[in-house]
Amino acid sequence: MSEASSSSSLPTNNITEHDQITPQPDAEQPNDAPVGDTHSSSDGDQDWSSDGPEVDMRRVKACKVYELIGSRWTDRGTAFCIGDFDEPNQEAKLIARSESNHNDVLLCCAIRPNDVYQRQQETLIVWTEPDGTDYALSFQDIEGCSEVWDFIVEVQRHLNTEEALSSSPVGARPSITTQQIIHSGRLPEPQMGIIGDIERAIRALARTAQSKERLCEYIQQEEYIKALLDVFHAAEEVENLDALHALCSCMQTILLLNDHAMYEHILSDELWVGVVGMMEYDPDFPAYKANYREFLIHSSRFLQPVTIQDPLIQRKIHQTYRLQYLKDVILARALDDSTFNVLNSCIIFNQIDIINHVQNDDRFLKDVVGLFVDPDVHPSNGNTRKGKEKEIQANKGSDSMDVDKPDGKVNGVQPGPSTATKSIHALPTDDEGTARRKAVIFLIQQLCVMGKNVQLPARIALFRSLVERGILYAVQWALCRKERNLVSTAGEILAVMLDHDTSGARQHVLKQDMVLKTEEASLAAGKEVLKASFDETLVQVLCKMLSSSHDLALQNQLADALRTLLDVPQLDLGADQHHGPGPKLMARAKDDPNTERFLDIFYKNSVDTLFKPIVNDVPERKDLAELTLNLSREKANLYLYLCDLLCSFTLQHSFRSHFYVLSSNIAARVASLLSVRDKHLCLAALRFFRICLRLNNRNISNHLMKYDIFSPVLDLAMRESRRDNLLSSTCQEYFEHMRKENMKEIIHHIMTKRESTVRQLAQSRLGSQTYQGLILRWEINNEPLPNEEETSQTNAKTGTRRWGDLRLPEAEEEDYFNTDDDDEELIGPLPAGVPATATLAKRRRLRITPRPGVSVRLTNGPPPRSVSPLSSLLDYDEDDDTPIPVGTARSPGGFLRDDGEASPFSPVFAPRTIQIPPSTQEPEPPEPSDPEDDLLEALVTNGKPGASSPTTPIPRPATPGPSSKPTPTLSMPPMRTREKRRRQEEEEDDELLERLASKSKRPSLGSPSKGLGAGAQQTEGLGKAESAKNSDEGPKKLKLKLAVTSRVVSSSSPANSRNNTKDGDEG
Amino acid sequence: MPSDLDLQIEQLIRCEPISEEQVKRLCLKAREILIEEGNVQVVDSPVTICGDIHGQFWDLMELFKVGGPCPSTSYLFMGDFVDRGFYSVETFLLLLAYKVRYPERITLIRGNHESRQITQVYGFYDECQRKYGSANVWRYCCEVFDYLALGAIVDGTVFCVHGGLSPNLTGIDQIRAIDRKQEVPHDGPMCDLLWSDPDDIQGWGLSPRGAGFLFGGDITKAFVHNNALSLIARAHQLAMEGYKLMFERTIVTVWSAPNYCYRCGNVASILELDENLAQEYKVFQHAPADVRSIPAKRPPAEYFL
Repeated sequence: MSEASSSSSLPTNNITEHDQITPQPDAEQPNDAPVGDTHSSSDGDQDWSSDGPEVDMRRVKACKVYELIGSRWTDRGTAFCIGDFDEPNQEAKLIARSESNHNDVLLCCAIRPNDVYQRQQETLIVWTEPDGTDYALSFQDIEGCSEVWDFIVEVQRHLNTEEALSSSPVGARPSITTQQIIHSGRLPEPQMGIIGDIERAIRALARTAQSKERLCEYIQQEEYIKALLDVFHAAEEVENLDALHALCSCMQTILLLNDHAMYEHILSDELWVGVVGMMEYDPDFPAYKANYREFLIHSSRFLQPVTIQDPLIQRKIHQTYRLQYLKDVILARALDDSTFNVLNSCIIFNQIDIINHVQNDDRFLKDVVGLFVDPDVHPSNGNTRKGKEKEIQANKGSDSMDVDKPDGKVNGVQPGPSTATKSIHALPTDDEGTARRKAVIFLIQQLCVMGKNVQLPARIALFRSLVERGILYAVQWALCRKERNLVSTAGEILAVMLDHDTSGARQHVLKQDMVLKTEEASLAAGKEVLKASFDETLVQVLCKMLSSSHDLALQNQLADALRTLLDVPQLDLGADQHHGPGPKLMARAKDDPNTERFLDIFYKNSVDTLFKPIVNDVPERKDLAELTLNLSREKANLYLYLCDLLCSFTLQHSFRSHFYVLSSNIAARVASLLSVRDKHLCLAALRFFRICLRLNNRNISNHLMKYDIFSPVLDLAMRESRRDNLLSSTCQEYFEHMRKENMKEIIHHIMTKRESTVRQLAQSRLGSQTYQGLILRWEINNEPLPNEEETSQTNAKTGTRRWGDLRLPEAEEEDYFNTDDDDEELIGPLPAGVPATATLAKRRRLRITPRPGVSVRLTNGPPPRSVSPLSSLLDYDEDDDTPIPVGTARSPGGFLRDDGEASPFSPVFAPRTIQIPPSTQEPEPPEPSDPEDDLLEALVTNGKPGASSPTTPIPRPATPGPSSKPTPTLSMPPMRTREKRRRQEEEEDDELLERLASKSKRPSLGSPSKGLGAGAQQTEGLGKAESAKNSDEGPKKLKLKLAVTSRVVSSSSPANSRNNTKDGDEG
Repeated sequence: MPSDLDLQIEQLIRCEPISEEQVKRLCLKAREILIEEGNVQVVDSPVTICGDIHGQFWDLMELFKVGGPCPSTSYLFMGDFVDRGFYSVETFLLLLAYKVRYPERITLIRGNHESRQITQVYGFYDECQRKYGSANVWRYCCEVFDYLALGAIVDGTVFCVHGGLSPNLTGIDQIRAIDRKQEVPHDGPMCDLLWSDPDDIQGWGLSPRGAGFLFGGDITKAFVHNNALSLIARAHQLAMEGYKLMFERTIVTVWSAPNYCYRCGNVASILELDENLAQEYKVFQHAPADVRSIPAKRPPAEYFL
């Protein structure tokens, strides 16, 4: 420990976080001074430069004095150092007097004859006093240092000749001076009495890099450690504690020499245990003895459930284990930065080698995965199952493997009800096999731990290749076991895999799904099939487990896994969290076809299972007998995770999740959770509704209004209104968002139903402004429009341009919503013969495309109306059924869009669209925008009657009859097989659709939807009429394309447009 | 008759971890308490403000020696309870147990290390795995992290936060509208509060940490002025002298992990604010070597790789 933390840099292993442990550049770091360049430090500079010219001579020997206290070099002050000969005492001394006060002697010590002095970096002299104190003199100038150094050397030469002349017989005193050792060029044969001297010599020799290197070579070549071990064993035999302590200390010094080759040497089988034993007698804790050997010999075991053949790698595995033990246990307290770094890098390099080996060790991986799945089911190198049928034939007769044995069976494998089901795979099913599998699970876990330690690229490569190889079969097996630790370990492995290779995991599930389908099909056809070792996909297993789990930790694990697995990356989710929905909110980062397929099978097979606990067990709010639900802790926790998942799905999965929300009516049940006693659950439920609000999706909003979800939210806000807590914060934010975005219908809904509550909230201590603002919004929204025509004209003259500009981003936003609102067409009844309504999104795309088109429309169009973005989303007239009481100043017709409006802009899509005959040329009402509302507010406050009111009744366009749509031009793009398959799979969706349609009572969908469909078809430039069934398929297929288009649009949209809107609002 | 919780506190003070089941209960209870706190928790003086602890349990004991025991002294910990040190589990659980036992006497706010991602890299995850044989305790604790307040304000004028300011936040009120119940995001105001650092620059700068920002004296002073503050107290950066005042004493870094990582050689400090918000910095050294404090991360007994 002659050297305190010399390096100011972190262990630079795998650290990805820029979390500095080093101080800021300007922080003083005195412990760096002796080995670093002291004089570059700011205060050093100051000290030196403050000297006047007359002290120039003295400056030559000016230096800083440091003393090592603990592991830290402490600055004793700036001084002038001289070598002085004390005649009376016949002693040469080093004297340092304070620079500021010449009489203040900072340091005075006799020069020792032994070689404790060291010169480093030309300006530094370091030594250890006999009492063990380490000093350092850091000179300003090389000359000063040289002068003092020469003095020391001279004195030593003198002293040593003297000593040599008068040398006493060696036997008299066993101690040997460092000087002697160095002169002899070799360390003395270790004996019990001189270990301390040896250690001192080693420390002295370690001071310069050159001698340290030689020393290390010497120790290894001469097998010096072995010699020390002999002494150690003898000392242990006779329980000579002093010697044992000295040996421990000496060994520690050798370990801290920090020499890579030395570690290899020490870690060898021959020396390791002995060295560890030596380290058990720490002189700092003389009353204790560590039990390293006991642990390493008796407790630790190297297991090989699957053998790694390469002996070199095997050796590295042991070595790494020992290095870790050395670093984390034996030396944990003594480590300095540089030793830490060297040990750490040894470990990491080994781990990289091991990892590289493992992921390329074909046999090893096959053996591992083969324990859990028939290798034919999961061909690791691209073989498909096709070739397998033959094998079955070949193997059938001879194979006697029994799948029905309970042990080792993967969850859900039914004990072969069908005799036709038979596994040919020789999965070991006995206890031994199970034990082996368990061990392999823990092996994989350690591989994960190791993998997490290496650099990202290597890490990703490892986990990718593991997933590709089918490691998730092992996970699935373990998840379905009863042993809690096994399940939990599997969960952790899964988490790591998902974190690094989500798409691989999805692909895995897709593969499983395919295997199962093939199997099913064959079974149905009465063919004899081989049974895969699983009969559910991983995602099904996860959903099933979560929905039936009572274990909090497991719930957490499963929910996390599902969240990651179903996480569809958002472009800029974080930013949107606080700024309301924007174009990016719904934009898919990537329309990876696998992701889409994965989502399809999830929503087809698993989503219902997952949310069953809520859908089945939580009553709808209206059926809630008491005000609050009483839930067990486990239940509450489960609901919490389910709500969180629902949030994340609703936000990310667009139409699929929206469809689910609407069809399952889960929202009404989640609403019941708003009044539970467990506040975290209330919060989770509230977060779901907040997401719904942010989606700004017409259908969902209507759905929520229909079930009066807003009432319990208000109740909750009321309950929490007096507290500054997470819930009240979220409530406030919820209504603030509603106000900011001016969600007119919802605001109106709330104010009509619960005006008194809102007014009460507006009086509350916290967040009253939000609710006051909400009321103000409502009042403004309700302001009757005095003269609509006049206003329009005014607007057209004055504000068009500005509003037009502002409108644009809104329009784009809206289009995004529309893009993802494809579920709209899923919801409505689809009368036979009516083309799909799905394509409306396509039509919408047109409106927003290039700016010129828009501006043209705006200048020619009617004045902007203050319509909430929400209402403007309405694509067909369904208001008749929404529970909005009449008496609002809004005309339902005002929300109506007809498809014809798209046509003026279709030319901009020229290459991709077909010009369609304009039908009803109802100009589209521009979208509202917040600034507009602000203007409105301003106008209202100024006493002017609403310049433009939300109530502008737009003449209801003649229903865009089917006649106006160019149905004949419909042409479906060639349907890909995948989609075809999906369609087949989705037959039950159609049932759902019907169910839903009857639920949501939207009879009016019919004709507008036709029109909308027409619009879409036009834009697609479709040329062929389709059957009703095909048009049904339209939405799904188009949706994919639309998403692409939407991205194009989004990228072309001015990035700051949304900010403008926001600023306008806030400003 | 001491309650279960008191017994657990006693056990934790001896640096002995409590059982997984007890951790679960403790965390659930803590969640109930933390959900009642605002994003910026209001705290009354006198209070003792502490910076990073980083699992240095025995140094935390030194801190309590210097600052006085909980609950006689009211404490405010500015995050980074876990990672790096050898006793993240005991450290965090003790603080959490104090929080549950004396909710009014101790405030815990979130640091950048109170995050699932970071704790998986810097030790807390591994420590839980090692000490409990599973990651369950880590999961329970991470759940609690999500509920921790993002900042605190003492007597309305001393703003405490782990990292620093955010270009997205001009006022403390705006922090109230942050949805804090989530994993620390990679950007945005919540991230900035936990990751930013003051620096001798003008305006905002890119942070070398890759998250958060650097903010200069002008920004700091403007924030202090606009929010009628007297001081911003933050942690997040090692200060060799235990604390570091900057920008005409408008902001201070308080660092409470002496000899950080057991080898940085720094001293630590706590900031005592009295009834009049007068500041006193109490500097302390790391705990003396003790056989109990021999840190050890024993590797698993059975190894495969």
